[in-house]
Amino acid sequence: MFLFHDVKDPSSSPGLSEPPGPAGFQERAQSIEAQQVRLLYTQAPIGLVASVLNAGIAAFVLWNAVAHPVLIGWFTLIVVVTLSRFMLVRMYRRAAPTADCIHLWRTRFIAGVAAASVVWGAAGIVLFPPESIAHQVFLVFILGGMAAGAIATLSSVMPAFLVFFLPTLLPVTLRLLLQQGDWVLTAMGFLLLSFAGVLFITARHLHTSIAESLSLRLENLDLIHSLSVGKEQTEHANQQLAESNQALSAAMAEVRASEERFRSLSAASPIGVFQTDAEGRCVYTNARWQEIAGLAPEESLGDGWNRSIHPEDRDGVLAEWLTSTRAGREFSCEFRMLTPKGEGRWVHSRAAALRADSGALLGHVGTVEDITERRAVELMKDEFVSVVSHELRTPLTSIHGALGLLAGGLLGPLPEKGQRLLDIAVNNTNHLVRLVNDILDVERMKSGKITMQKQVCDAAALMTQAADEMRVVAEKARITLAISPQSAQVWADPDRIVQTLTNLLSNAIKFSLPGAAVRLSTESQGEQILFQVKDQGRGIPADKLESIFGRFQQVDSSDSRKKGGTGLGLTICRNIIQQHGGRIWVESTLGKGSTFFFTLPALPR
Amino acid sequence: MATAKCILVIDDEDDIREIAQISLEMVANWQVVTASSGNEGLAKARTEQPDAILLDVMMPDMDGPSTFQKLQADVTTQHIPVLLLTAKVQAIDRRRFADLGVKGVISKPFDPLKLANEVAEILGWHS
Repeated sequence: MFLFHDVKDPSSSPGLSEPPGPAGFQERAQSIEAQQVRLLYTQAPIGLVASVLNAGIAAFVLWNAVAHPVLIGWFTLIVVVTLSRFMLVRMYRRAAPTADCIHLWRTRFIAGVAAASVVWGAAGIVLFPPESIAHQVFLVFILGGMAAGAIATLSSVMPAFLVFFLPTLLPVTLRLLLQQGDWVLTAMGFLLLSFAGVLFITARHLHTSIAESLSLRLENLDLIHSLSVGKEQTEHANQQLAESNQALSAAMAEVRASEERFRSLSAASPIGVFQTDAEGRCVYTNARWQEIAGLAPEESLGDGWNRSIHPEDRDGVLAEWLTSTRAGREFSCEFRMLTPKGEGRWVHSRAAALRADSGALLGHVGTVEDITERRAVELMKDEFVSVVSHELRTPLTSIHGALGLLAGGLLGPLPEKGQRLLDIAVNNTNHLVRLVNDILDVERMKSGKITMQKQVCDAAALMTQAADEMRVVAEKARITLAISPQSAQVWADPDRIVQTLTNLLSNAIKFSLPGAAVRLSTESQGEQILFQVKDQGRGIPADKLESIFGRFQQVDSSDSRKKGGTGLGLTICRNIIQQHGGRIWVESTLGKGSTFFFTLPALPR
Repeated sequence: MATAKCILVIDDEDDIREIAQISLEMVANWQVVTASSGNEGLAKARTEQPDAILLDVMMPDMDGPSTFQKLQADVTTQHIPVLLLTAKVQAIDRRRFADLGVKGVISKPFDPLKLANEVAEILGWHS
């Protein structure tokens, strides 16, 4: 059969479009069929007109050679069939059918062609004039012409061509071949047969050309569509690229500006700045760093910084660097740097790790601050504190000792007033000793010279020790000292925490009336331990709750004289607790009493 | 209270030396020998062979720790227990002194009525 198997496979055509899948092939074949059928209907009017004209000429020429009723009947049939086919063409044009229903219109058209071919084929029998050779040749000529004309109008759909071609030529061919005794007619039959073969081959070639042309057209349309889509995608991609470029340009400008700001800040910074790679080699130093180290910019890079550390401090610094970087914490160390000229400087260096999003170590960034002057001032202050400590205590020791010996009655009894005056002198000397001690404590804490010797302590033991130290004072004041020791481990300097507790207990006792109670307790609060010292004293006004932790800030300015305090006890307590990472505060109700709280970091059990 | 003890007080401050002497003699009835410098103290330690030495920390020429080291270096005095008298009150100082090997540290100003008792307690003389 000559259906679509001879249509060139669209996917075999070279092109930019993607080859269609199985569904695509079916769709492509359907589209080609629709185009072929469209060609049939488009070219049909020419064939129809030619058919009527040829039929009219045939009737006219054969008028005297064929019986009139037969001729009229035949011509009428031609006209009826042609009109019917013309109506079908009109219906097709109005319907403008889609590809999915084209098969029906193809069948209808072929049926019309079949009807026409039967009538034309019948002409080869019923209109064949047995007597006139000229009319016979005319009839063969007109039927051959109709078959040849069908190539142009019907070969787009081979079944339509064959349905017309075979019935039209076959009867007359057989009539000629079967005409016995007349070799001229027999020869005409063979000539007509040969002609039919040529027509068939020509129709076949034309059909193939039309099919390929349609296929190429469809491929071109696909290609154009693909190119259009590709163009749109390219334009979209170009637009996105342009936007990305714009964003990238803006980001780069911001980075450049940021880098410029950093360079400016770094260059003008009074603090040395450096950056190392992951191996600890310096990759950047600012001008201040180079000035402190006394190195040229290129000398400061690589391992140059290592040689800038004072030889006596180098091992310690490197050990601290390794310890802190391995532990992933900030490096912070005070040490001496030595310039190539031998000039030494005290510096405080800090550094932190630079890490990628993946966590990989990129290097370190850090600062170096020249603290030479600060160290000198601290040294002077230390010496001053030491001198004051010694120079004040030495005469105080003598006065305190001498008065103590006198007041103790070791040298015999004194007159009552003399004894009273001596007691006043002793009390005030004691107060002066405490004051000197407290002032020195505060100053040392302020300068950070008091280092907390922290260790694992039991809160209950600290409470008991503090209470034991204050028990005599409490009994003397007729105050009940109630403690509720709760065992909990804290990370603290035991001497300093006992000092804090005794300070708070001393205050509580001082400001309680005889017969009252002072309670000392602790409470575990997750990651911290809460200490409480609760009294039933006069209370503290709300506006003094914070200020009493300041230096020489008491609820009543006469308290230091009346109660014997120095006005520095709570300042010292706050300093101690803060250096432990804790917090201290007071809650109070006037006339009912106060509760002092402080927290210390708890150790996990 | 322990009896018949002999204490050597080494302090460059005359007043303090005298108060300590009076205190120990009158409160505890101990015999007190004094020295006003480290060198004098070393000499008297060798000759007097006291039961204990009260040694001031801050002294000119030779300070308390240096004097203590010399006492320890001398076989005739190294057995004598030494207590430091100091105006330095910091815990870190106390630990440093303790690390030297002294028996104890007594803070200045001391209570003259309790000084002898404090010394006896540190040295375990009560028993």
